[in-house]
Amino acid sequence: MDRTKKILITMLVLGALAAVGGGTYASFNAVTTNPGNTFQTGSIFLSNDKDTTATTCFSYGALTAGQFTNNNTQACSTLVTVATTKPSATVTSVVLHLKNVGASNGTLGLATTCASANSDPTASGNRNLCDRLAIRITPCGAMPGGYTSGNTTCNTTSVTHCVYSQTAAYVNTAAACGALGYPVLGAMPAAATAGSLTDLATRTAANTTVDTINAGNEVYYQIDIQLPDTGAGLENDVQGKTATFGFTWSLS
Amino acid sequence: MRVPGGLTQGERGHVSAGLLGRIQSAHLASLSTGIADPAVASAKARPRVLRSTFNKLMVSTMVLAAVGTLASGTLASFNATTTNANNTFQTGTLALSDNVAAQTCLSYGALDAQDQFTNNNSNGSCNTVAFAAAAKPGDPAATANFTLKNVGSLAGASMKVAGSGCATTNNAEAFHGAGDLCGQLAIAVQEMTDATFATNKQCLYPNTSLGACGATGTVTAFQTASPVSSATGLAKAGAAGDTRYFQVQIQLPAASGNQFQGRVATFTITWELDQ
Repeated sequence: MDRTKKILITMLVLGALAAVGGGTYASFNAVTTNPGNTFQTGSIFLSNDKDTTATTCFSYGALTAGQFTNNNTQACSTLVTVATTKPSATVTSVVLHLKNVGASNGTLGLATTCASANSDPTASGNRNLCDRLAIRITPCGAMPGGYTSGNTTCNTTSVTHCVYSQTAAYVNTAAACGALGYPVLGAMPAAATAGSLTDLATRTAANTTVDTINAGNEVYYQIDIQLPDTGAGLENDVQGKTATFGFTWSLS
Repeated sequence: MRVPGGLTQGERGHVSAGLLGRIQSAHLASLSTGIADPAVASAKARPRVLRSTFNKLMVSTMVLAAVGTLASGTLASFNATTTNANNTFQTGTLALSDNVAAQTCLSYGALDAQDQFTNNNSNGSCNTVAFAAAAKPGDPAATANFTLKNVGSLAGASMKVAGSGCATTNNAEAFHGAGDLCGQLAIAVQEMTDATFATNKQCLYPNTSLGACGATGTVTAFQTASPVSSATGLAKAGAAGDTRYFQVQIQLPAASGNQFQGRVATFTITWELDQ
C-alpha cells in the first residue's frame, strides 16, 4: 500500500468517526429565528372613464387570476368624435374621470398626439387641421350633487389649476385656465399657436407632468375642443380634413 | 519540461499531485515576476486576459445602466397608463361649381399633389362672359346663364353675388364717346327655376322680389349694393337643392346718348357660398 492510499484510508476513517459521534457534540447552544419576513410592493393603478359612464377602463385591463398581463397599460375609450363639421362657436366637451385606484401616490403625466389627414374625396385644404383646433383641459371642481353619468361639462369655476390652455405657462399651471381658443392664426405657412392641438401635442410630446393624484383620489377634467370661426374664410385651409388625436395618461 | 497546468517536473516533486496542487502552483506562478520562459509568461498572461474581459463586461454593464437611467426619467418603478386614442375631428367642405357659357370653374381651382387646394378655396380665374359686342341703345338685354352648384359635403346657408371692378375703356374703333358705361348699363340678377332658364323664380338685383326683376339699376349701383344675398344657400352635394340657376341681364338703355359710343365696360361678378 503506497503512501497515498494510506492517507486516503486514514481520512475516511476519521470522517466516519466524526459522522457517528457528531450528534452528541452539541451541548450548549443558542438559537434565534426571525420568521415571516416580507417585502411587499405597492401599486399604482389608473382608472379612466368618459363622462363618468358606467363602464370604467382600468390601466391593468383584463386580469388573469388577479394578475394583469398588459404591463399596466391599457387602451381606453375614444373621447371625441366629430364628423363633417364647419367652423363655429360650437364647443365639443367631454368630462374625463381619472382615479388612482392603487395604493401609492402618483404623479400624472400626459402625452398627446395629433395627426391631420385629407378626408374629402376630391379636394381639401392644405393646412394641418391640428393647427386650427382649439383645445383646453380644465380640472373640475366639486359638482353640486356630485358627478353623474352623462356629464359632458363640469364645474370649472374657482379652479386654480389648469392642465392646458392658451394662457402661459400653458401646461400644468397653478392658475385658472385661459379662454378656449388661440391667437389669430395667420395665413399659411404661419406656425400653430398656443391653445391649439398642435401646440398641446408639442408641449406634451413626452410624458409631461400635469397633476398629482394620491392613492384613492380622483380628478375630473373637462376637455373642450372647437374649430373657431374667425370669419372671412380664414378657415378654408382646413376644409375636408380629419384630425386624429390621442391622450395617454400615465401615473407614476 | 512543462506539463499542462503550468507545472514543471521539478514542481511536481514539491507539490502534492491533484487539482488543488495545480491551482496553487498556477497561482504562485502568476504572482512571480521576471520569468523569461515564454510559456510561463503565457500562463501568467491568461488571468489578466480574463480580468480584462471581466472588467470590460462590468464597465459595459455600468454604462448601459447609466444610459438607461439618463434616457428615461419614467423608466423607474411602477406606473400605470391609460390611453384615449383615435379621437377624431373632421371638417366638411364647401365647394362651388360655376358653369357659364358651357364652361365649369371650381372654387378650389387647381389641386396640388395631395389633392389640396392652395387658393383658400377662392378662384378668381373663372371664365369670362362677353355679354355683347357692338351693341346699341335699345337692343334686347344680353343674358348670361350661371349654374351654381355646391360640390362639397357641407350645406351652404347663404349665397351672395357681387359686382366689382367695373371700368370703362374705349373699344378698338378709331372714334368713340367719353361716357361712363358702368354708370349707364342696366343690370339685373335673377334666379331661374331650372336649367332651362325659362322661368323667373326671384329677383336679387335691383330689388329682391319673387318673379322677374322690376326697374333696373346700373352696374355701378350694383357694385355699390354688393354683395347681394339670396334668400337661401345651397344644399350639400348630392342633396336636393344643391344647384341653383341664375341669369344676369345687361342692357344699354334706349335713351343712351352718343357719349357711350365705342365704349367697353369690363367688370367682375363674384359668387360666394357661405356656411
